[in-house]
Amino acid sequence: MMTASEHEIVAKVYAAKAASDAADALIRQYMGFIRSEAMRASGKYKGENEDEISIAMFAFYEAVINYEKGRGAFLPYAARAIRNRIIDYYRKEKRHEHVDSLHAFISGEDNTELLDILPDQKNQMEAYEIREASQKEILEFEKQLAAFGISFSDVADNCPRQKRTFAACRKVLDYARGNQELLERFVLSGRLPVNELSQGSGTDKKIMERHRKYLVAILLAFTNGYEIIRGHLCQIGKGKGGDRP
Amino acid sequence: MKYLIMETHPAYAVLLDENGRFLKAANLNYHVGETVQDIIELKSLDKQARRPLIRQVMAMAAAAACFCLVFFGYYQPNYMAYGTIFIRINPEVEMTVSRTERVLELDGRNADGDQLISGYDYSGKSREIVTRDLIQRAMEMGYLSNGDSVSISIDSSDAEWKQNEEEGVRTQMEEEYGTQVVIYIGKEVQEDQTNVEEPIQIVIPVVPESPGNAASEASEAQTPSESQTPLETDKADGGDSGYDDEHGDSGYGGEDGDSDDRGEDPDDEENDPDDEDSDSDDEENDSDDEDSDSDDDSDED
Repeated sequence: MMTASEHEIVAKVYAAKAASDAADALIRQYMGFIRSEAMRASGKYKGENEDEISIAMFAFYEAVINYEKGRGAFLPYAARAIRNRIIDYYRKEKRHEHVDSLHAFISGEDNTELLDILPDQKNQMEAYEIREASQKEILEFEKQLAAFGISFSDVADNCPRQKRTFAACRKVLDYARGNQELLERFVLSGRLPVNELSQGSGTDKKIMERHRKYLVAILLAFTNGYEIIRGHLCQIGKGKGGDRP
Repeated sequence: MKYLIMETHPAYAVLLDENGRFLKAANLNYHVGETVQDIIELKSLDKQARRPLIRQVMAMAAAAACFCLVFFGYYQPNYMAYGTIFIRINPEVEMTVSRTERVLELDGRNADGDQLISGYDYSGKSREIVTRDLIQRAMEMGYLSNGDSVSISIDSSDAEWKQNEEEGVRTQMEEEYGTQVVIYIGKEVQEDQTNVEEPIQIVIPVVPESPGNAASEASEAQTPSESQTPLETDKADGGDSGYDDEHGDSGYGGEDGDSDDRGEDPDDEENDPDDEDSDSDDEENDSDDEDSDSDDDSDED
């Protein structure tokens, strides 16, 4: 498996860039490589480095996304990406070094962790229920998006990254939100009323076309039924957004 | 900032932030529906779009620099015509050379010249070698024999280079043929050198094919038809050869002893020709070389 020619690997990497299924498959195939690179970078052994492996997998995925043919062989490139990510992670962790772990043992007492004697800040049950509810909602949302032929991964890839583009899309969304009739029409027809939105918001049609998937997703979220998601998107509608609170 | 987990994959998760951005981040054991705060966000190289352009420009610049280096450092000095050397024995040959004295082109300027260079491969050879080879060939083919003259003129827009070349040709010719032929590095324009601006004329006098000399110098060259073709020279030469026969032998007999004279002769001639060739020749009628010399010159004129 690891002896696959560079050519095949690169072909797979390019397939993985295009489709998230292919990316997941590629990562599964190279799990051994990822694990060994994570171990090499962290100096830890199996069992005690869950986080590191998660980060290594993520770094591998990132390498897949960012890889270009001109950058040399893929696997060394990915190995470097993994090492860098893990080093970054350790650096970040170091900043929190002075914070005691919740799992630290309390001095003088055996087998009693700090976590055990702290009062529960949240009601575990309640938190679990909220999570269940939002999960249900998200799955529903996902299904509705799938009807448009869109997955969350697509939306993430399609999300505007530049501030100006993001602001332009925001204008479209703000306009649409104030126009319930338009939203209903959109859900029923399944088509984005580009012309109307463009006229109403003053955003260029090209930008809307380019970020169609993203706009569809957010507009869907504004339709009925997605209370939790809408609640999460509290920043939208609070006037000008885009900056972190 | 809080993030809502929308979708999880083995290697990453899709999150929704409070501003309505969807993004990908490391999946640190997340579950759909969870809300998290610290994330490791995907860094996609958007600056890529800019970098290749810079890189392309750099690559172009590097390629151009390499090209310039090769062109000015190697190609130009070696493969670009820098000057022409015109050799006139009887056959007339024009050599186009690069600055590094590499012969780029070889042209016969008359029928004999064409014959002289036909079948000769000059590619990659230096001016020095080609000149030597051509004179050797001329001797073998009977165009050139002892006492004859060779005139060489050099033309180039670079005066300094031209002077150096002249000097180089002169020393080379003197070293190799100083005792056998008379060399003129011509400064006067010869009649048929139309496109050469400031030619230098070297006349190397050669004793025409007198039976005695020819036998020693050139073995096969004796075909009379060949020797008759070059201009009217041959008629006069024919006369000379008779003359040479008588004295020539004796002259050559004493060659070893007379080496001093021979050493002097060419010098005299080189100094003189600028003024008048015939004069010098007349004065030194004693030696065979001189006689033939005068003949050649008169023929040329």
